[in-house]
Parts: sequence; C-alpha cells; structure tokens
Amino acid sequence: MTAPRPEIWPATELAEFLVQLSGVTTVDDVVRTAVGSAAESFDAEVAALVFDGRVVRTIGFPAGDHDQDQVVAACRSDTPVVTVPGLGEVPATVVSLQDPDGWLLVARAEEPLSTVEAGLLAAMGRSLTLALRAAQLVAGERELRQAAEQQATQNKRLADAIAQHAVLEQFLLRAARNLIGAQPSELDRAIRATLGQLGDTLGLDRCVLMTRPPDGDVLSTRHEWARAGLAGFGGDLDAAGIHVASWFRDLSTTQAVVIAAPEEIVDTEERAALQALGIAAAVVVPVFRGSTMFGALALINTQTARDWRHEEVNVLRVLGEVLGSTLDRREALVALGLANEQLRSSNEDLARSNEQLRVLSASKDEFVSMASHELRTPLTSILGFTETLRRHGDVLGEVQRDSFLDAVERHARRLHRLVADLLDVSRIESGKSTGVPSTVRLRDELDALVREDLAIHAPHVTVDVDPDLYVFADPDHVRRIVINLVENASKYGEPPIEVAAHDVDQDTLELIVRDHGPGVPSAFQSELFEKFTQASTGVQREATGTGLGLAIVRGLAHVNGGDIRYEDRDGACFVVTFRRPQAVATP
Amino acid sequence: MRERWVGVGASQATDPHDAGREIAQGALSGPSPKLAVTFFSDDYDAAAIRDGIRSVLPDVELVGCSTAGEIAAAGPGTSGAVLTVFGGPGFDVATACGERADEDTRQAGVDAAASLARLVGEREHRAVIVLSDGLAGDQEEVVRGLYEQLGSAVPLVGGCAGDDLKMVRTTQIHNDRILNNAVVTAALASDAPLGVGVRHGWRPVGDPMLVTSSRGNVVLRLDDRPALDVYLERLGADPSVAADDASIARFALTHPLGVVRRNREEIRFVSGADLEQRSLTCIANVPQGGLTWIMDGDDESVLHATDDACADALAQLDGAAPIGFLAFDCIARREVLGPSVANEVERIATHAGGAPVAGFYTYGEIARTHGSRGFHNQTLVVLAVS
Repeated sequence: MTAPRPEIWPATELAEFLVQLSGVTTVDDVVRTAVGSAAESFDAEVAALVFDGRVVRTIGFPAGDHDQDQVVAACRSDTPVVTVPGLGEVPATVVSLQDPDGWLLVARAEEPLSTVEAGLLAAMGRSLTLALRAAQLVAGERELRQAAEQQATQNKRLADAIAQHAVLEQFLLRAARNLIGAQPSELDRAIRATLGQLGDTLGLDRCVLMTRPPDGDVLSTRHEWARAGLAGFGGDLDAAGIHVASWFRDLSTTQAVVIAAPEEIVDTEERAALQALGIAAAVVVPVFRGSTMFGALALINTQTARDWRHEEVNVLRVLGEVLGSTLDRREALVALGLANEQLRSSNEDLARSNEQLRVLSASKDEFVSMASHELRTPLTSILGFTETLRRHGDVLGEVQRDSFLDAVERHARRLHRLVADLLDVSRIESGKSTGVPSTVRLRDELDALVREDLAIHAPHVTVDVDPDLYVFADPDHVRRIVINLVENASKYGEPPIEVAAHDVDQDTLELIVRDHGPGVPSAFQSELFEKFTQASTGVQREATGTGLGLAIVRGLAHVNGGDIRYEDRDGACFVVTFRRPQAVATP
Repeated sequence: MRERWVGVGASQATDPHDAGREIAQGALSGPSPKLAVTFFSDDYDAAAIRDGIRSVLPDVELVGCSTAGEIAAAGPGTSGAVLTVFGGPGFDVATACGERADEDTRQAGVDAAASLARLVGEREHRAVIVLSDGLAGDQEEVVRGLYEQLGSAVPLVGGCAGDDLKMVRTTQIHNDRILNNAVVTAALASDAPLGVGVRHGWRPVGDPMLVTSSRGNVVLRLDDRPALDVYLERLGADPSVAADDASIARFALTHPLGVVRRNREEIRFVSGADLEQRSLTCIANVPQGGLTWIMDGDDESVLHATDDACADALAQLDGAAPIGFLAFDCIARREVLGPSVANEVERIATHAGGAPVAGFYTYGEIARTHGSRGFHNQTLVVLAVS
C-alpha cells in the first residue's frame, strides 16, 4: 500500500479549479465558480474576490455591507493580517490580480496556507484573470450576436411588415378595381366577393357591411361573409341583440372603433351583447355616402383577441371609402340609366310619330298631287271641249258637236264620280258613314247590279251565288263594294270576272270577286287598300281610276262589321267578309 | 427537569398511520419536545406517517425523508420508520425548506438556510441537519447554497433521501407538507457541544492515474488510455465483469475510484461503464488533469471507519456523555458489508453508550465542519448530541 505523497494533491485541486472555470462562460459565473472553487480547494472557510475596491463575491461572509469584525471572525485564521483595498485588514492569504486589478483572498481557520498552497492560489488567480477575459470576450461576442439577432429579427419583422403591406395593398387594389369596375347590377356580388377576400387575407371570422336607414338606428347586415362553418348574422342586428347605435355615435367622431379584446369594452351591457353575438375582437369603420354616414364595415374575430395592426385598420378605412363612393356611383348610374331609358323610349316614340307624320305627309302630298291630277284631267278636257264648242260651234257638224258634248258629259261624270269617292272616303274616315244595316238577300242585289250598273262597264261578270245567302249590312254599301271590286277587276285584271259567296260559319259570310289577270304584285299587296295606290300592272292598257276604290271598299266593309283581304288564286281574288243576319227566317 | 433529551422510536407496522403514531409514542421521552426528525420506508404513504406522528406530537417542528433503509439501536431495517425527538429547554430549533432543487439546486440550498440564520449565535453550539433530494441536481451545490447563508460557524450534517434503490423519486417532509425535489433543514442550537464525525474507510492502492480526459462524472481516459481498460487491468479483473452496467456496478461497489484532496481522499463510486466508449461513469465529478486512485476497502476497513467517525464525533463533546446519535450511512457501505452491517449498527450503539441511535441509509452524505465543502459519497456521517 502506497500512501499518496502530500505534494500531489495541488494538481487535482488546480485541475478541478480549471475544469470548473472551463464549464462557465459568463463573467458572473466565472466569479462565482472561482471563489467557490478556491475555497473548496484549500478547505478554506472564507474566500473573496475584490475588484477596484469593491467586494464582488464572497464565501463565508456576506458580500454586501460586510462588518469588518464579522469578516475577521469568519476567517478564524492565524494567518498574518493583510490589507485589501475595499475590505480592510483581514487574516487571509491573498493574490493580486491584474487587468482587471483585484484581489483573490482565501482564509483557512485550521492553519495558514503553506508556500506551496500560496503558489497554487497565484496560479488560480492567473487562471481566473484569463477566464474573466475570455468571459468578457464571450460576453462581447454574445452582445454582438444578440445585436445581430435583434437586427435580424427587426429586419424580418420589417420584411414581414412589407410583405403583409404588399398583400394588403394588392387586396385593396383588386377590391377597388372590382368595386369601381362593377356594373350596378354586379355590385352586390362584387361587395360580397371583396368581403370574402378581405376575410381570407386577414384570417378573420367575419366581415360585415351594415347599413341603417337615414332616419333610424336599427342596423341590418347588408352583406356579410363568414368563414366556413360559421353561420351568418343575417338580417336585423338589433333584433339579434346588438345595440350598435353606440358604434355609430363613436364612428361619427372617430375614423374607426377598434376592439382588441372583450375586456377592453367598458360598458358591461355592450360587452355582454357583443359576447352574446360571439364578437371577441373587431374593427368597425364608417361608410359615408357624401357627408351622410350610411353604414359601417366591420371585421370580426369570434374566438380570439386580436392585436389589430395599423395597416389593417387603414385598409379597412380605405375600403369603407371605396365602398361609399361606389354605392354613391351606383345610385347615380341607376338614376342615369332610368333617365336614359326614358329618353330612349320617348325618342323611339318621337321617331315613330315622325315616321307616321312623314308617311302621313307623304300620302297627303301624294293625295294632293293625285287628287289635283285626277281632278284637273277631266276639267281640262271639259274646258277644252266647251271652249271649242263656243268658238267654233257654228262651224262644226252636228255629229262632231254631239261627240264633243258626249266627251264633256263623260269627263263631267268622271269628275262627279271622283268627287263622290273623295266624299265617301272622307265620310268613312271621319266615321260619319255608318250606314243602315238590314238583312240583304245577296243574290237579288247582285242580279240587279249585273243587270243595271255593270251591264256597260263590266259585261263579263258571272254571278254564282246561292239565293239563300243573306248578309246583315247596308244594301247600298253592299252594292258599292261589289261595283268597286268588279270595276277594279275590269280595269286591272282579265275576264272572266266571277262573283261568288258562301257561308263561313254561323256568323260570317264570304263574298269573293275574282278575275284571271296577272294578280297584284306581291310588293304592292301590303298597300293595296291604302288611298290613291295603283300598281303598275305592266299590262298594255292604261288603267284609269281614282285610286280610292279599294280604300272605300275596305272602309265600307269595316263600317258593316266585316273586312277585306287579298289572295292570289290564278289571278286577283278579293275576299270580303260580311256579318250574317242573326236569325234569318228562310223565305 | 432534564435540560435536554433525545428520544427515538421505531416501528415496522404495516399501516403507515400506526407506524407514525408508534414511532412518535416511542420517541416522546420527556417534556417540551422541540424537534422531530423521521426517516421512513419509501413503501409508506408519507402523509399517513405524518398524520400518525401528529396524532401524538401535534406542535413540534417536523422534518423527515424517505430512505433506502432505516437505522435504529435495534439494528438496520427496511420497510419501517424511525423518529428522533429532541426536547427540553436546552435546545432551540428552527426548520426550513427549499424547493424546486431540480430547477435551481443552489437556490434550493439558499432557501433552505435563509430562515435558519436567526438561530446562529443564539447558543454556543449548533448544527443544521439537512435532508435533501439526492435525485434532484448536484448536491455540492446544495451545500454551497447552505454555506453561503450559514457561513463557516455552523456545521452541516445530513444525507440524501432514498427510495429503496428504485432511484425514481424521494419524499421529504417539512412540518405538514409532503415534498419532492426539496431540501429540508432543521437547525439545532444547544448549550452543550455537538460532534460531527465523517469517515469512509477506503484506502488508495497502487500508483495514481492521471485523468487525461473526463467530462464531469464520466471518465474517458486514464493515463491516456481508455478508462475502462485501465480500471479492469489495474484490478486484474476478468473482462466478463464489463458485460453490462449492472455487472460493472456490482463489481465496482467494492472498487471505487478515489480523488485525493488536500487532507483526505474522496470516493467516486463507479456506477456504470460505456462498453463502446470504454469509459467509466461515476456518481460525482472526476476532474480532468487531476489524479485518481483505485480505492480498496473491506469489512474491516469499513467498520474501522465507523469506529473512527463515532470517535471523532464523541471527541468534540468535550468529554460529555452523548444523549443521542444520528447516523447517515451510505447505502453502498451497507452493500459492501452485507450481513456484517448489523455489526456496524452495534458499534455505533456501543459508541453511543446507551444513548438512543437513529439514522438511515442514504444516497449521499452531508458533513461540513471546516472549509466550505461538505458533500460525500460512501461515507458514514455521525452527529453526536450531548
């Protein structure tokens, strides 16, 4: 068995001291470890470290406000007394430190430190100095690193803020574009889409556009968006228990009401109402239309408090302004649209009446020109024949004189006929030609006509009408209708001219006048029954007439409760409808 | 009336409340009881023990802890409880506790000492009994915290609580509170001397080894060779003992390392090895750059240390007869002694000369009489009260 040689132990103590110092990095830890380890290494009761006259760390007595007697008592040492600046006279072994200047002190009650131990203490002091410098360097480096980290954190925060700002800006631009660009009819949808985008962008639970009538405090949700799984407020907010009138009072004097957490709301009643609605945090901004507050826009978190960022509140305010002006614009657009519509409609009316006037004017011109021509032609002939008779009557032979007088008579009759037609048209159009309807046996009337009135001008007429057919009409009108149609057929069509009739139903009878000519050109058919209209037939025969015949026929048909239409049936075919007498007793 | 008295009660009762009541009844051996110190098996419910004690001693200051075995004059025990009561007008007592030692061990030591300072100087002789949670942090830090507050004039004596070697959780009692991760303390001030003895009975053998590489309590290289290889070689051990941690620990129980300090050798129990890294794991720091020895011990040397510790403690009583003994004995010593452990308790009782003896088997011992160091391994710490 070999006992350890006594001089060996300092190696272990120094090693322990160094190991402990190497395990710490801060100045405080180095000081604490060095003082504790030095005391333990020497089995000392007291150890202390003094820098610049200040006791920074002690073992065995308190570091602050120490009592000199207490220190000496703690040392309990036979060691010669040394003077340590800042600590006074103490029975201890000390080693002076440099850079920073100081003292490391150890006192052992049992026995004073030996020379070897004093040497060991000096080595510890030197190690402590180095460890302190290292710790200061580490501290400096740590400070630099912390500063760099702070800078990095700040940069990141700044970058985040810029990124968030960009996101908000993008949202705002898009929202403004969508809202301003929306047609009035699409605006509601654009507002809802914008609220949804806002909610998604900011990670919110609800976005609500509330409105109130100009004369009331009752709010209603005009548009709202709620995240998936969350029911909307819907409808009348007051009915839901939210007394938002106070928000309006606040909003009229501030630009935004910001609630970060329910605890912030002082008014307990209002807080309870908001909590009942599931509002944990909110920002509300006014929406103005002109100078009137028309509604409010609210961002809402239902569960969590939210520290609203300045930019978020600003974005909402701008959105509120955009919404207000967009809604204003929509109203103006709607009003303008209505006015435009009215204007367009009255323009169309005007255009229509213009056209009617134009047509009327044209037909009047045409009438005047036609009438003057139709009147002047026979008058000119009459004047020519009568003047010839008066100047040269004495030299003309009797035959020639009779021929001239016949011509005068013919033209006078034509003129008479024309004037009669004009009067008829005028009467019919003014509604004065009402007629006196009676039950007319059609066959009798037609036979008389063929026998008397048509014998000369229309010798090729055949009548194929059942004697049992009756109409309820003015007999004179019936005759005039048939005469006009037959004369018309004689002028423009080819023989034979057929007159037929048949019952259509219990109430109606059709009278048909048909020729075998070329028929009426299709382009002309629509104007067939207008006054003074005559189609060029292309036939080598000059058709003469007043151009009033078919107009008179239609007028008379209407007066008697019937109508007239034209059909192509291998020639011209006019079909006149008449009313049948209601109860005809078969004769 | 006696100025001071010490009473000890012991119980093996199955019911913890019964055990608490029995030890209190057994320990209450005079008027004016001042301080009750209890050590009990981890199998017991601490609150029930406390309630049992309180049923007899409702007002005395109470500290205690769970153990890895209890010591009473009748011999070493497990699954039982002992209680020591200090009483009489010749004692002044105060108790305190520091908590959350697992978070800040030193601060727990500071807290456990703070309210005891008023006792320092009230009477000529004093000691602070420390019962700490050895599983929560570096116990040297606890001693530093205590020393920082109490200074060099107050001896510290005590041990770390145990849990019957389960090494999971230990329990401390401070008055009516049941704690973990705590340091509980009881200051005892007396007109008569108090003696503290501390011995381990291990001797360095052979040449010292230079610790060329270590990290805290892990010794990587000795004499610049793998530490495990050097250790086994020095002891001429069969390499099979290094098969696993448990095997190594069993072998190393009787072959700890020693670190030579200025005037003593400190034991570093080898608790395991890393077979890959060929390193040794000890229960306390082995500084790199220092020297270490293989330590040697046997029944005889361990029991010899018991005699020495008791003699040292008695020597400080200035010739007065002891009225009680408290022993804080390392659980490793009990493992070394095996059946002979009964002899150790007998020897302590003999030194006590009929005065009551109580104590427990610990996870680490605390004894500081001079200098600022005070945490030990594989030692016996004895407090003799006169």
